[in-house]
Amino acid sequence: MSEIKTQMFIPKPVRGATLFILDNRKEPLMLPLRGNATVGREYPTSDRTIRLHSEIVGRAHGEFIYDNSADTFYYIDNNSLNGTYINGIRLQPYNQRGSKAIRLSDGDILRIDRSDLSHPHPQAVLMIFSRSMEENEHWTSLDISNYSSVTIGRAEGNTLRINDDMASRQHAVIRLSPQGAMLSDCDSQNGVLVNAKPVSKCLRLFDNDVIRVANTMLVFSHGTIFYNNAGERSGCLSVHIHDKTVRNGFRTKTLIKDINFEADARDFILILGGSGAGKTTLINAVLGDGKANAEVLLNGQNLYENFKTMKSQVGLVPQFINLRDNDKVIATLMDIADIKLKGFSREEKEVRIGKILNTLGVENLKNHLIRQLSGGQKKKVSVAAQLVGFQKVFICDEPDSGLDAASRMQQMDILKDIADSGKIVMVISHEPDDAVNRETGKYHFTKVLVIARRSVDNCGHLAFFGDTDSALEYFGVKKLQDIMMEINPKHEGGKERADYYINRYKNGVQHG
Amino acid sequence: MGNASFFKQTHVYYKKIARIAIREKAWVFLAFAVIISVIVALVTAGDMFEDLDSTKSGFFTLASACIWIGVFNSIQNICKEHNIIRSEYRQGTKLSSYVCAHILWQAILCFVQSVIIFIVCICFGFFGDDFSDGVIINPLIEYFFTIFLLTFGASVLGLMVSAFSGTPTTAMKIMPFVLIIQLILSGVLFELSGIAKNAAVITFSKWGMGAFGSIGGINSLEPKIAGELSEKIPNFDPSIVSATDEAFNHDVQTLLTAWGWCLGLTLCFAVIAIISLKIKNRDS
Repeated sequence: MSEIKTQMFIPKPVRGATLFILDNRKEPLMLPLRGNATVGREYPTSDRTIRLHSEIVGRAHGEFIYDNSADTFYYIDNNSLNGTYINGIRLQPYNQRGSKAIRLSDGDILRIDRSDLSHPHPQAVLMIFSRSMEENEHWTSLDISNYSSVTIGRAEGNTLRINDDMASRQHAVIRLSPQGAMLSDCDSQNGVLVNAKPVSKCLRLFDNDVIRVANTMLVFSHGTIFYNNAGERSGCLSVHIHDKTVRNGFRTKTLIKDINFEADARDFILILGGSGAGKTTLINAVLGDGKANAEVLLNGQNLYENFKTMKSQVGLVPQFINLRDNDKVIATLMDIADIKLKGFSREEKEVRIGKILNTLGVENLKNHLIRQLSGGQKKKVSVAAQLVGFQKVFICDEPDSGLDAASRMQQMDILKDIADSGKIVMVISHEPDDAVNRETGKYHFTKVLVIARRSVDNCGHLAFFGDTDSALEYFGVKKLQDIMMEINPKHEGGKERADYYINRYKNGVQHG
Repeated sequence: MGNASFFKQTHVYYKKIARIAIREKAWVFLAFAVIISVIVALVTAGDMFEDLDSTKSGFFTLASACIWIGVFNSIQNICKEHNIIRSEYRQGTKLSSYVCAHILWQAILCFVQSVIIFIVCICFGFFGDDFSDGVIINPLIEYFFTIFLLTFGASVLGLMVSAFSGTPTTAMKIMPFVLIIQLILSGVLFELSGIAKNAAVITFSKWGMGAFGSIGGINSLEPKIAGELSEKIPNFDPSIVSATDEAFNHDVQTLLTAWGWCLGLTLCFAVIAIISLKIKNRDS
């Protein structure tokens, strides 16, 4: 009988979150969440971690709970008198201790308030859970009680000017009258959300309503607007795929299952997996093209539920170039700009495209026809076409395929630069060892996602997700390419250890 | 909320389609129009308005040529770009704008082709020499408008086939069937009855023939056999073998009905093309 070693559990580092709080102090407060936290009313002997200034908050109102294994925060209402509302829904008592634990996603709005949120309590408390806001983010206030209307937009002359290209010149307007404040979307490019719901025409605002204009969050409270004006905010992607199935005649086949991961801005993620493991299914699920039984959150907004307005924020650079051969590079990009950059002047569009071409090193090719370009140049133009818009997530399906070694390295350098500019870049590559910094010899990738097919159910599971050094250590290899040797089946020249790594990752253990 | 408006996107797509079409030698399509119309006029113009059968054959050949030219113009336009369309659609472009831009370009291309066909027909005397009796206006304008409606309608039919074909190869495989259906259901080659007669209402060939026949007043022409019998039988009454067809009545209602059906079918095919693309890209 072989000796079974005890395996040591190594907790992952806490990624943390930020809590925006607006209580009776009437000033926004940003609190970092680094683990479990209790919530209650402020009083002299309170032992609560988060102490709220409001008479309607219970002494032990609720709790934030951090699950290290899934890097996820939950909230429980401790059967408080006035309850807690998450995104407008009151948490119901579940047992004697409190409500069910609700998993929190970036941008969730928690309120301690009356049951009718359109008639808020004067001492109502608003909390916004965020994984994309910085805890030292600067919030500005604007007293709008003396205005008849407040315009919000990118252009000069707006009452509230937003420093973000995602905002339209005049994005929205709030009209104030004795009946209340009415918010209208001025046919903006990226829309307006109030309490995470899109505004179609005109909507009455109530205290503690959370307005989202491009990347800027605005909180309307007692005649004042608090806003963070974060500029081109970075993305925060949270993917929870339960499964993705397809019907094949009368049979249902599961392609991928239980894939959960989160990515932050500047993450450059390598997706590794053998043939048929489900890499393409995974990227289609993240894109929303082949919707899975999943929750894909981008900066707290559900991609599937807001697909029409959000789909353009997740871009795909396909393996095979999707550009018209007989069009010029500049015309291709200008046409995209004409369609996507509503409200931009021609000069602004030209400047944006010029910068993109310059960044990608193809400015000298702008008057060439697409068909006159080499494979590598076409791929760069394909990337440029995606950069014209405001994508927060870039998914590249084998951007290095068919290129020589030098071009592959250059392509990866470019993608790394794009990630460094604040985007999330996910790459499927079969030549991952080309993506190295030539000076330090370190990999460009910040994270590695390995998907492998488990023999029991013959569908793709997550075999690893973590940083690059951990990936090499986890698989006991020196090169990223060698990970494939570990998980590939024997008939493909591998060691067929996919099941082992999948189970090991699921159990959240590492060798002691 | 969203990207540029429908009209702005249509304008952008139109400029792109026109630019690429010119770069891809759109003049070839104009050359086709010249060659085909010259062949049609050479073969049929001499017998036009001599008798009912020859005139009918002439108009049928012209209608078929217009349909062929139109379908050929556009049959590959959308299917060769399915991957590009999918990618653009997920970036927020409108499929309706894309299809409308194609239709606009086809309208211009078909207009120029119609001018070519019309001029060639005039030069060869295809429309005869009596232009005094139009149904609504001058018969030459009516002929031209009918040629344009047929060519343009067939172009939109081609776009529709292209929209639901996965690849250019598939589209080219479907094309002969589309053309054969148009020819068979025109009612000129065969007497139609039952389902075929009802199905014929969705063909440009039937309504194109109706319009040409109405403008040309072919009901007043005698069948070929009447002439032959008159030569052989003294005092032969041609009315015995003459039969008028309501579809070719030389009146406003008949002509407007034919034109209306052509326009209606064009509109339907355009809508189907958009719906087909939306279904194809429903996941995006």
